[in-house]
Amino acid sequence: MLGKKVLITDDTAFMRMTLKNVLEKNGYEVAAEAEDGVQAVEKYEELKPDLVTMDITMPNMDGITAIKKIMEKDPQAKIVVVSAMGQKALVIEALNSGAKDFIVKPFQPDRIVEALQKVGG
Amino acid sequence: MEEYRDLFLAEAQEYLQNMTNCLLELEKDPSDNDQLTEMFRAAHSLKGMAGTMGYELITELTHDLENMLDHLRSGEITVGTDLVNLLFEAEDMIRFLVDNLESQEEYQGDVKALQDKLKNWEQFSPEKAAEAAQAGQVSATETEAAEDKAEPAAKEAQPDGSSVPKAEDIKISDLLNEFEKETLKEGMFKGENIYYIHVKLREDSLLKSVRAYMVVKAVEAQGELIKAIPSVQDLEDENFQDEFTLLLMGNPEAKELQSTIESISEIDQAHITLLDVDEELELQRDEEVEAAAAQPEQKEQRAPVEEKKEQVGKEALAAKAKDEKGDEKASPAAKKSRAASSLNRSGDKTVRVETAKLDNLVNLVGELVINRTRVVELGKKTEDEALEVSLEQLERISTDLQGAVMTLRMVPIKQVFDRFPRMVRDLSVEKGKDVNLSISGEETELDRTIVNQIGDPLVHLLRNSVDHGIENEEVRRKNGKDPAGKISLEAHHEGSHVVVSVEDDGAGIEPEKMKEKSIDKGIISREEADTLTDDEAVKLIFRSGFSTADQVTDVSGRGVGMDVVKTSIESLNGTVEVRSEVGKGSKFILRLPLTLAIIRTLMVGSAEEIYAIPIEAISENLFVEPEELRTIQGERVITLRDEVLPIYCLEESLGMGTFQEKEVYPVVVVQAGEKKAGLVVDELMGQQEIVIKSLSNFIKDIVGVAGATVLGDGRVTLILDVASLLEDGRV
Repeated sequence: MLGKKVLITDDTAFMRMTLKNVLEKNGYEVAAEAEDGVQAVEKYEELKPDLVTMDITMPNMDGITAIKKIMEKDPQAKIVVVSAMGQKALVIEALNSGAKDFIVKPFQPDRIVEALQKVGG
Repeated sequence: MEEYRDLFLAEAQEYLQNMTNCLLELEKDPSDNDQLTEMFRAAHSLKGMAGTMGYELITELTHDLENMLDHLRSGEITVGTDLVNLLFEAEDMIRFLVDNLESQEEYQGDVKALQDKLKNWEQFSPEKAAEAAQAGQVSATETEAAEDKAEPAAKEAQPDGSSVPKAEDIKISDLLNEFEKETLKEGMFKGENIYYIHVKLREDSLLKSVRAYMVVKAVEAQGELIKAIPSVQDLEDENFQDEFTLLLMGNPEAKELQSTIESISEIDQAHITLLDVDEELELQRDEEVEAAAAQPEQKEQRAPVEEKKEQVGKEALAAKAKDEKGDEKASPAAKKSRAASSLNRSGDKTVRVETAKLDNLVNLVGELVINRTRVVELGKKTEDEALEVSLEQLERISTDLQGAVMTLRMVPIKQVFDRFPRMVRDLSVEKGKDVNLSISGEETELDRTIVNQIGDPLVHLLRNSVDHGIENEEVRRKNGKDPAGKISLEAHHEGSHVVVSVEDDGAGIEPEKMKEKSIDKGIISREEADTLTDDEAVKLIFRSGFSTADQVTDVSGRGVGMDVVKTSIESLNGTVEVRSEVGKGSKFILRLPLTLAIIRTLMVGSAEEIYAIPIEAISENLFVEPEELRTIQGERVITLRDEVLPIYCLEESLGMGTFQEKEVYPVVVVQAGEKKAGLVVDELMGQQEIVIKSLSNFIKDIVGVAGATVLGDGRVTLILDVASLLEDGRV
């Protein structure tokens, strides 16, 4: 079985790389990387990935807006928020906007995998 | 009957106050029979009044109280701290019922529990000293619970002597209040299941509150959440370790529920039990009926005698209530209808809404109001009469809507005040002073965020009054004062503000002593001290690093000074004032805005932009001639009433431009804490009420900017944060 396709969204290259390494090691296929909400929405439409990781604080378009836009287009989208510490209110907003789960940076590799597995089956 | 209500209320308050006084006296001198007689009389009169008015709960409760006092008078039992605490509890409850006549039925469970305790007077007899000591602990903890009376409905009913064996390990009846029980019963009639869900999060998971939120949200999608332990609020505030429990009513499969919860990550365990609540609640009910009909069974061999006496003594009213309960027991249909009607009754009066939803509503209405102003302005340009008329209508309706929405967020200040009588009593006992606290205006409403935040400052002020304000009894006697000190806590509306004051008839604040202290602590110099007026000297109490307590006591003087009170009130856009007269007392006056969502501002123009400055931060506006402007060490200043006032150019401070020469400079004098400065602007544009919009996270922490608002013409305007501007030294 082919690995699930994941879209990574984060404005820092470092975090994208870290996520990519963890995901690829665990049998996921990283379909694309997005640097902000605008790219995330575009790439989601273009590639229809199985799963999305979403940072919240990003330039151009923040993660919450991106989640809303993606959910609008595809209510089945499976988005996991990857947030910084202390963003309680934002995480709740993201969940209310349609995100399925969240993890907190700095994360342990198995946590993101667990979250993606639970969300994406 | 209604016309007698006010009279009843006034008199009831009087009797209750008498009871408080008597209790305080009794506690000091247990042999004081006069006080006991007085208290007995007060309870008796209250019972009679309440009976006439048809307030059954109060009647029954005062009846039991009266009985207890009778035993006390006959010497069968003796006064002790536990007993006084119980009497206080009873008095608090009566007071509460009097204050909440409309909804008193809702607190039946609480009253019942208390009545059981009162009926169990024998535990206070000298022979039962050993047991009394034990029971005392229970009574003490429950007194604490009663203290938190802001939400008695949420207080878990703890019927005494519920020794009925239960099939389940989980005694949900202990966890629920009356209302929740009714809801469960109602659900059971509809054939719903009750699930007890215990969730344990992974120890190392982060943002546990959000995890809990996800679980709550997930289970709420499958049924009705009856109860969360700890409460949803505590879960939200992360006041829990790794575990929490939810009671859910609904019909999902347990398996389905389990998998829903387990699909959330970082959950260590989720344990779901289907409860057989039916049986338990039935037992509970039977027990209640029995308790109402007679003494609790645990009364042992003396019970029969006691029961007889009790039966004879019972009022006709109580007997009637009993009959009603008996009927219900006999007929399930009647029971059902009662459950339903009780639900309806509560449902009519209140709806629980998440505060986030309320905030959102307030926000939306804010937007609506802003847009209305825009539409109205546009409409005026068209000179279409019909349009203008309907716009006026729109304006009126939306203003009403705004007002209505604002009141949704308003809660009575009572929520805070209610905990003070006990606190002051305990403090005064601890300090060996005799202090009476009188409270008025507790029905005054203000925004819940403000209510939540004024508790601590008020606690501090009250402690201060008890500790430093009110003198010792000997001193008071010597000075010809009533040996009992008086503290009054008062709240009332004043325009768009609420004024809360704490006044004591104590020693007052001595200006000279304040000066000396301030000099000792290096807060001011001797030269400065000499120039201060008495009023100014008294105000030194708000300076940081100041504490007037000669000794550090455990009441006040813990290093948290009045400056903290001032800062926290100012952070709410409020002000604190102190008035004091040596030998007569002091009064602290807090002035708070009704709401934090709308503020009054002065609009100023600067470098083609409009800024809003909160009125609270402005002390005055001036027009300054160029020749008044001087430069000292490179800083612009003016002399205002013999004081040197630094002058800054708003444009420059905000980095929007440089100082421009003008024929006359409009200056806004702003103040935050003790700092004061003049801001040069281009134009003073008048006052306006604005709806505060917080800035998004990217630009949240900009120095000098508190938020933004949208003007009638659609322009976005920044609201200046004077405190941070002054703090930053840029101004």
